[in-house]
Amino acid sequence: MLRREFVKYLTAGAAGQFILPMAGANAASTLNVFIIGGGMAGATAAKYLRVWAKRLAIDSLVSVTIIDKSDNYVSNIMSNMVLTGEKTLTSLTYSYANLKTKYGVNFIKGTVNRVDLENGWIYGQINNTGPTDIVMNATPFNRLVLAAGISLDYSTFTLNVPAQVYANPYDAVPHAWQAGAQTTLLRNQLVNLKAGNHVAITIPAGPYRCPPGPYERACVIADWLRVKKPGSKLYLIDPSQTADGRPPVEPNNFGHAFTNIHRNLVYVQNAKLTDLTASLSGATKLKTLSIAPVNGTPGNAINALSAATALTVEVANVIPKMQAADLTRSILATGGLDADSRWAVVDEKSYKSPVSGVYVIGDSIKSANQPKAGHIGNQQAKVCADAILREFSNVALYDAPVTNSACFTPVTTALNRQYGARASWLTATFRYGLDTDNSYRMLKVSTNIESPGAPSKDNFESMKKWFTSLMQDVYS
Amino acid sequence: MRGYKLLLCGLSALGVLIGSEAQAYDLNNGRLLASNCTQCHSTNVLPKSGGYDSLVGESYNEIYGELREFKQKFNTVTKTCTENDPKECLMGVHAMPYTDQEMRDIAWYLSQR
Repeated sequence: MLRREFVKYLTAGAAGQFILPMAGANAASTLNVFIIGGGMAGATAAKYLRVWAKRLAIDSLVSVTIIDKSDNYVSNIMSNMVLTGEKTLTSLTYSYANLKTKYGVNFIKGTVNRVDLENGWIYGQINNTGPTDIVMNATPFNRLVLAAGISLDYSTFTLNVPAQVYANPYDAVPHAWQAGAQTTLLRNQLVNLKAGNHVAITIPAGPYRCPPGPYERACVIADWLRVKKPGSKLYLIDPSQTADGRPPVEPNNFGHAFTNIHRNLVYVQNAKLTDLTASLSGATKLKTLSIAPVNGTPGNAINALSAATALTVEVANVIPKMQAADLTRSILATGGLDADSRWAVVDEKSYKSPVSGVYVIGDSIKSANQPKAGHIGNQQAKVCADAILREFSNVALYDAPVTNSACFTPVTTALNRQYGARASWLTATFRYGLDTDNSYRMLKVSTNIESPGAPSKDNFESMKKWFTSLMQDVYS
Repeated sequence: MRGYKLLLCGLSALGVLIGSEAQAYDLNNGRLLASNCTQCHSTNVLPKSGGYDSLVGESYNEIYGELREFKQKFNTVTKTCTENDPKECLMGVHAMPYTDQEMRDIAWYLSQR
């Protein structure tokens, strides 16, 4: 029943109970929302703006357009299973067709170069071809949502790759942290390993996208190596350190897996990559990683690095330090970024930027407590969409929105004859409120809760449902 | 029930004292809060196959009752699950943040799908 909801919506405002002052863009008679980035957060915001506008019978007033450089979204979630051959990139690829046809979301394929915030024009390259700085939107936007994700920062280590080893030096260090061609590159390097060759994964300093991701990846690659490349080891280089040597993320789940399941996994804490040099040994491409302690005082005597060392492997999966997408940082350069100019500052009640008319959702934001991940990006997008519609309708924002993070993670693969494919999960819930420093932000209302017991087949089956449902909530 | 809700809205607009029943279900808030549920559970705006159980067709009382039950499976003092079943524990964490009013708002909104 749309009418009832609409009536309630209007009467709440009419009664004077929730009226906000109308000012600036709020006075516009229509909403023209442009969303840059069609990933988990951006696509969700587009869909829910249209779905809820329709329920409120204001959909004729609400235009929503996604701009993305690609016709399809490739899910980062589950992409570690592409590395092990258990999934294909095709199976993780989602089109914008449903958003267009079912919900009336407009879509422009292209690469954004810059934004004229004052006048509502977006400049860039349409269809990724031709002029690179032409106006992309036919009508000026009055709300801009930035959901452009992350960019990668390689400045934390030196990279020495002779041209005879790799024509493109970055092919020596595939990150595979933005699913697609990078995933294929890393997968192919793993497949081409000889038995007894070794692999290293380096974890960046936080915050980074998907906190459990590197540990999950270490688990499934180690499991795959044990069967496919006997004698090969997986080195996991972690800048964090803990008193008991267990991973800082999901210590129970990953601690159990590292100790009891993946005996070919060598986990090193308090360790950062300072240099990577590639070389040839015959036809084999070697990567020598220089590793140094992060903290002069090792935090444990189990696996915390105490002195600089070097490690030579055949595959180096370097996950670089991260920051908000370059475009996001450019648009928000004046007044919209944190002190390090790395992440977008927002009010997590609405995801509104201090830069007028702009909202930022997903992995680009600075958040004290919410992680960077697709599941919570989906929920942030709904809070943002709700806030945009409430403000447009002069209805007060919800005082204390709730978001949640849930992440299922495969811990073993179907190749594992002893365990089969098993998974674990991590979840937490958040609510907007006043923090101890007298600032409002999303606060954790639960601690990080790990799945009880050891990784299980049941959890693996639940993981499939979780992923299917989540992606339906975004793209179907 | 639909007429009842509309009547209550009308009374609210006229500034008439709102009784506890009238305050029980806020659709605007329910819409936002219940969107946490649609990540995993269907509403009728979403197709559904291969995911978790759908909530489509469940009544207000069923959803509200389930939320209350799940909330009790998380100990807010120790901040741990009181259930060792992973599914029960997961839902305990997810139901835990909500006030009774919010659970009513969620249940009402979802039961209208």
